Amino acid sequence: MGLIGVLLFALPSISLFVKPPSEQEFSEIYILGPNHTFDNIPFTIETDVNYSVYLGIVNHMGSSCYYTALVKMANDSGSLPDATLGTPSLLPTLYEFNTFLSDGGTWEEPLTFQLNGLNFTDGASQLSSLTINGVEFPLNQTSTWDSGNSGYYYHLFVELWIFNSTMASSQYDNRFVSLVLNMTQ
Amino acid sequence: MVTLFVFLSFGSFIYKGHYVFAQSDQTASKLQAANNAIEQAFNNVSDAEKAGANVSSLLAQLNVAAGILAQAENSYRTGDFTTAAVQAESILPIAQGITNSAQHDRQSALVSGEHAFWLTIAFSVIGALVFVFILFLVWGRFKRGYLEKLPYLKPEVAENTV
Repeated sequence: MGLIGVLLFALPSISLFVKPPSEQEFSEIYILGPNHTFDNIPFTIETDVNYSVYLGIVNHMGSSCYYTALVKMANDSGSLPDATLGTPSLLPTLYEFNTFLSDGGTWEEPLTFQLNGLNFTDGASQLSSLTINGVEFPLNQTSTWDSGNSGYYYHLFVELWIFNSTMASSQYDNRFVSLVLNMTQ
Repeated sequence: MVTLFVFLSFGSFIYKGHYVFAQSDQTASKLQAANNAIEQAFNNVSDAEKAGANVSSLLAQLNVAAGILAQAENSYRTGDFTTAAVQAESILPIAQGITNSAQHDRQSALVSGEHAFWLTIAFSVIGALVFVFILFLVWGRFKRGYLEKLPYLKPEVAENTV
């Protein structure tokens, strides 16, 4: 009984030195439709029409993190991030979001986009500009006709980068979300 | 006269080109400075968090700075160097304020943490000693009571035991 009592009083001190096993650490990035659900996510796109989705990031890293979300645009043959090698796309960043999240925290922001200046010539479509959250970015993206899927396809995707204090720079977290956009004529 | 006019036109074109490049370089360096300031502020907030400080208000301030930085980067990408430069410069005092607060909070958390550590150790040691002492007293009291009763205990005579 004496031993049990001593152990009970010693428990607070023991907990100072023994840490419970940590859970798996990871981050999430997601896109939801305009109603904060997976419904009505834009696919068939018309030019000069504003489309809206929600971009979200969740932190499960066990501590506060500094996230950067980079929005990029690719045509049907453009380089998307390589999930196998864990490398980001080489395409230039069009728009970026920055956020600091505590462990367990969630960040969500609207992402509105509008495709402008789409021309169709010789079985290819050419996109000249893209407006994201009211900011217009000049583009020069050409996509060829996809006969198998009957459309001109582009990819609007968002890469998740996380700041590494040891490396003193942001690193690609091997996570991205993509919207496949079918341009109609 | 025509030669002079051509020379002046060409010269002003080159000068304007250099001015745009110079402005772009200046803005890029201001953006880099703003990035570095925010990263340093975050490192200090992270250290404070590891020391046990509550950093929720500091994270909220960092998010204000991060929003401005994102706007500055997006302005830079669209060629609006003037806006990007102004936005980048506005980040520096915010980041410095966060850094100072985070360093102060970290120190406070370290001191509080050390006090809590020794308090816990003291509680465990003193609590265990007091518990054992009380247990010893209780045991001693029961022992004395038993010894006092012992002489008055009569052995029982059992019959038909063979």
